[in-house]
Amino acid sequence: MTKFLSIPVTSEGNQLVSCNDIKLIEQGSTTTVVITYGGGKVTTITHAASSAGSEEMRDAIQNAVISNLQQSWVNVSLQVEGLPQAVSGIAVA
Amino acid sequence: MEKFLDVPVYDNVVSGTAVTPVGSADLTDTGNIFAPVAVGDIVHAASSNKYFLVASKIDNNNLTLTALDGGTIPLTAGEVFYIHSATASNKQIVSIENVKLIEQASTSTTTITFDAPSSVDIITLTHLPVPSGSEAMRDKVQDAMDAAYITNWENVASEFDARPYKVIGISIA
Repeated sequence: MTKFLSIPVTSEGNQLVSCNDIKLIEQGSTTTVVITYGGGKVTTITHAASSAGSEEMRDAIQNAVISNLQQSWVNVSLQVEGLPQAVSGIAVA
Repeated sequence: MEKFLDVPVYDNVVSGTAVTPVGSADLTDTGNIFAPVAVGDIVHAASSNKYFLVASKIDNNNLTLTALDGGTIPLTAGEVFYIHSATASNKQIVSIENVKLIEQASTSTTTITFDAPSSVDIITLTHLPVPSGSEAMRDKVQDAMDAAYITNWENVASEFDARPYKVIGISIA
């Protein structure tokens, strides 16, 4: 079952981020959440700053991934709403 | 079926570098750094890689400790330390898909190795130490993985109770 998060990005509309084969989600810094995949790719979500020590954005992405994977197979993408910080960019490397 | 363990990671309360211990203190620092620390919190002495619990709080600059894995007290000046809450934690999900091996890598680390490129194929759980020679934390992770896989597909993230070996950090490499 292929699954994606549909994440609103400032001035860019919504962008799909894969929920499949995720190994770990980390709060990389106060402005980034890093999703590491089994295939070796790393997606970095850049967002407005969270307070030091907060992992609110990691938690929000984790919760969205779990919710999405719990949905029926016909619900391919989950619209992510109410993120604690605005997302300004998404990149993969 | 995507499956994860939902692992409580105990919050880092403060960190610093020890100064010369004062009086009966086992760990001394300055600037009232220990104000948010409570009895029972976890002290990781990073320089010597030893673990302690806070036995008492003399004041906001001085603690007494109980060694968990043979560490020497008092901690000497220059020892880098991290103090984690004994009660407050955040959940972090860890994949259990495509696992090749789970190992007790050391008394305070358990590794999960995946079939993946070498740059991202090992997740390391750093936790309170198991007794020397024990593989208790490895067994806990293995058992949790087994249990997670026999649950319904909608149970994506299974709660993982690592106690008494509380997890203080998770990394991937």
